[in-house]
Amino acid sequence: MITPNKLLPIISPLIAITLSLLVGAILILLAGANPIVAYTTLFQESLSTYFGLGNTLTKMTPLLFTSLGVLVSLRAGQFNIGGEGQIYLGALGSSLIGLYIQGIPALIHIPLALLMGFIFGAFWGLIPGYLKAIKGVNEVITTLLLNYIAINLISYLVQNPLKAPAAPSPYSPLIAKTAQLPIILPGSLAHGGIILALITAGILWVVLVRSPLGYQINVVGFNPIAARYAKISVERTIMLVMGLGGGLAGLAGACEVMGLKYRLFEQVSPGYGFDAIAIAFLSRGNVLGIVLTSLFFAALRSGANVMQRSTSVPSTVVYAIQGLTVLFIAIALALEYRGKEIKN
Amino acid sequence: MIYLQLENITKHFNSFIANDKINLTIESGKIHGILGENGAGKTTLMNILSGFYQPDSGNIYLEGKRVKINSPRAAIKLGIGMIYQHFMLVPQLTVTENIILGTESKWHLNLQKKQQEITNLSQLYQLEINPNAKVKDLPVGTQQRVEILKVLYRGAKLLILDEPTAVLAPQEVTSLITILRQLALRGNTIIFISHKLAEVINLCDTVTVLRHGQAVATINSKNTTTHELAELMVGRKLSLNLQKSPASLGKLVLSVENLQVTDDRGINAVHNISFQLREGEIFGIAGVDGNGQRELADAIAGLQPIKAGKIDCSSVGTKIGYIPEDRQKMGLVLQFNVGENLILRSFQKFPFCHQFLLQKQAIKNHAQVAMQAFDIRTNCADIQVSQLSGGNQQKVVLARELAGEPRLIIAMQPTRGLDVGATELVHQKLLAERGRGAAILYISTELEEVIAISDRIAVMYKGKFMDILDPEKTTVEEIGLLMGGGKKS
Repeated sequence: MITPNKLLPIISPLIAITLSLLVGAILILLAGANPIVAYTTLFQESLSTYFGLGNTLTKMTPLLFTSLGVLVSLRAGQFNIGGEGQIYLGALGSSLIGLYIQGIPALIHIPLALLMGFIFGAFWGLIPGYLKAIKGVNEVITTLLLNYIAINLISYLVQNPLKAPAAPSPYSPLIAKTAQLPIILPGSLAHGGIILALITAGILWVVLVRSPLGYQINVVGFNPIAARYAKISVERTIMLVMGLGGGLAGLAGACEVMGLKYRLFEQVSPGYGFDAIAIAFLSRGNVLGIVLTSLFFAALRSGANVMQRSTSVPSTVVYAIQGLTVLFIAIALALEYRGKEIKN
Repeated sequence: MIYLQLENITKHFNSFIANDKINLTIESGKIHGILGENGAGKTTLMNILSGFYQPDSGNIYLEGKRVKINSPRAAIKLGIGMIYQHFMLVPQLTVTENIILGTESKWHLNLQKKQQEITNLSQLYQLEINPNAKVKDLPVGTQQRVEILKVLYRGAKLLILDEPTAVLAPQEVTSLITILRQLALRGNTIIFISHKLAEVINLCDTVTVLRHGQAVATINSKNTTTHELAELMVGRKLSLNLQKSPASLGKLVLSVENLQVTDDRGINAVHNISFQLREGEIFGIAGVDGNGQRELADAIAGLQPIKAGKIDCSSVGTKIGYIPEDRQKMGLVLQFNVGENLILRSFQKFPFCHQFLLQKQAIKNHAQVAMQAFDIRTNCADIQVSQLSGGNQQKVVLARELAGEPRLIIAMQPTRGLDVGATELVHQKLLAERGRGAAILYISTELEEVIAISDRIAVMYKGKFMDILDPEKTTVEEIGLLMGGGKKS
C-alpha cells in the first residue's frame, strides 16, 4: 500500500525543483531573456541531443556515485561533507594503477583500477569514521578539512612527482589503454562509468532496504541507544558507513580519470562532492530519488553553457537554481518537522 | 462560582475523534481531576485549553464569558497556565532567569529586582525556593515548583497539570499535594490530569473520566472508589487484585555476588549487591528513581561493564528478555513500524533473515501474530511506532522481549506511564511467563505494584539493598521508609 508518508520523499523534491525553476525564471527575466526559451534550450540540449545527453551522463556519473556515498553515511546519521576529497583520493588510487601497471588485459586492469579508487576513497572516509566512532570527533569538521588536504595533495603530486614530462600544465601522463573505460555513446563523452554507477545504485538499494546490514545502519542512524541495547556495534557501523561512503565517492574520482580524462589532473572535481550533499538531502535518503536528482543536476550543469551561448543568460543562473532547490527542500523539511511537532 | 465551562467541545484528527462533545464545568477554587487511559483524549482537551489546538466545534467560557483561545500566548493572557509532565526549563539558567524567560521586553534587565519579586511570590504561595540556584542542580520536585511559580508569575488563575506525579518520589508527591491544596485555598482553580486513581481521589474535589474522547462521568471524588473509577476508565469490569498462583521455584537462573557497577560518569552506582533468582520467581526491586536500578539492570543484561563482583547467568545464554526503563529512548526505534521493531534483537536470524535478505512477509506475519497476542491497537500495521500511544508502544517492547521463551526477564519500570488496561496486560503476561518457569527481575517505583506481583522484594537505596522482604509480611509504609534510606524500627 502506498501511504502519503511514502510518497512524500518523491513529491517534495519535485515541488522544490519546480519552485526553484520558477524563481530561476525571474532571474532569467532580470538578465533580459525569455525564461521559456532559456529553459527549453537548456533541457533540450542536455537531454534530447545526442552529444548533450552524453555530456549529461558524463556529469551524472560522479554526482551519482558521490551522492550515494553521502546517502550511506546519512542513513547511519553521519554527515559526510568529505565527498570532494574522497573523489580526489579515488582518482589518485586508480591513476596509480593505470600509470604503473602496464601490459595486463583490460578485463583485469579496469576492475583493479576501480578497486584501488574505491580503497583510496574508503581510506579517506575511514579516517573521520574512526575519529568519530572511537574518539568522538565531529565528522562534519574532519571530513570538511580532509577535503583541503586531499585537493592540495593531488595538486602537489601532479605538479611534481606525477607530472607528465614537458607538460604545459600540471597533469600526469596518460594511463594505460587497458585501464580506460569504454565509451558507450560513440562520438560523445559518455563512458561506461554511468552504467557502473547505476548498477551500484541498484545494489545499494537492495543493501539499504532489503538486507540486515541496511536495517542495522538504519537503527544506528535513528536511535544509537536502541542499537546498543540490541547489541549492534554503533562504532563499527559508523566506521563501515564512512568507509563505504568514501569508497563510493572514490569510484566517482576513479571514473573521472578512467572514463573522461585518462590522466590525473589538478581539478579532478569542480565541486561534485558538494553538489552531492545537496542531492542526498534533496532525495531524503531515497535511492531512486538520488538517481533522478543527479540526472537533474547533471542536466543543469551540461546545458548551462549552451544556454549562455544562445540566450546570453549567464551560466551562473544554473548554480542559483541549484542553490534555490536546496533552500526550498530545507523549507519543506522544516515545515514537515513543524507539522509533526504540532501533531505530537 | 463557575470558573471554567466547556460546552460540546469536539476535535477531529482526520477520521479520528479525539474529543467528542465534551461538557465540563469547574468551579473556582476547586481541584478537578481528569482521568482517562492513554489516548482517551486528555492531552487533546488540555491542548485546546492551552491554545495549541482549536476545537472543531463547541464553546469555552471563562467566568461566564465566552472566550476564544487562539494561541498559547492568548491562553496565558486569559490566566491559563499549563505545567507539562516534561519540564520546559533551561537547566543551565537560574530559577529567576527561568521564571522571567520571555516575559521581559525592556532593554535593561534588573535581575536583583526580579529575584526579590520571585522571593516574594514564593513566600506568598509558600513555595520555598532559592531564586539563585541553577535549575540543573535542583531535585525534580523542586524543578516542578519552578514550573508552578513560572505560571503563577505570568498571572495564571487556572493551573493545568499534566501527569505531574509521574516523575516524583513518594515524599515529593506529598509535598506537591500540599502545594496544590494551598493554591486552591488562595482561589486558584486546578485541573489535575492523571491516571493514578488513588491520587486523584485523595487530592481532587471532583473527577471527570474520559473514555474514547467522551466524558463518561463526572463524580464527586468523596463518593467513589478506585475500583469504580478504573472500571469507568476502561469501560469494563476489572479485577484489581492480581490472580497469582503460589510460586513453584525451579533451578537457579541468576546469581549476583558482591556486584559493583559504575554509571556513565564513572561514579559507583551499585554497591556490593548480592542476590539469587530461581525459575518461576519474581524478584521485585523497589526504590526511588536513580538509586542504581538502571545500572544494575544494564549490567545483568550485559550492556554495562562490571567493576567488581560476579554475575552468573550462564545457563540463560541468549534467552534473556530486557524491558528497558525508557521505551522511547532505548526500547524502540520510533521511526520503524511494529514489525521492524519486533525484530530489533533478532533481525539477523531465520526466519526474518534468509539468504542474506530480510524477509518482508515473515516480518509482517510475525507482527500480525504479536499484535493479536499482545492487543497492540493500531489501524495500520505499517504505521511508525512513534504514532502509537505509550501503552501500545510498551506492548511492542513486551511482545519482542517475551518472544522465544526467555529464561530470564528483566522488567524495568514496565508499567511507567501506562493506563489501567495496559498495566493489567503487562502484569498478566509477566505472571504467565513466571508460570512457564521464567525468572523475572521486576524493578519499579510503584510500591503497590511491586508488592502485588513479587515473590520477594528488595528495597534499593543509593546503590545498596536496604533489605529483602516478604511481600506477604510487609507494608507500603515499611518499604517507603526503606526507599528513603530509613532503617527498620
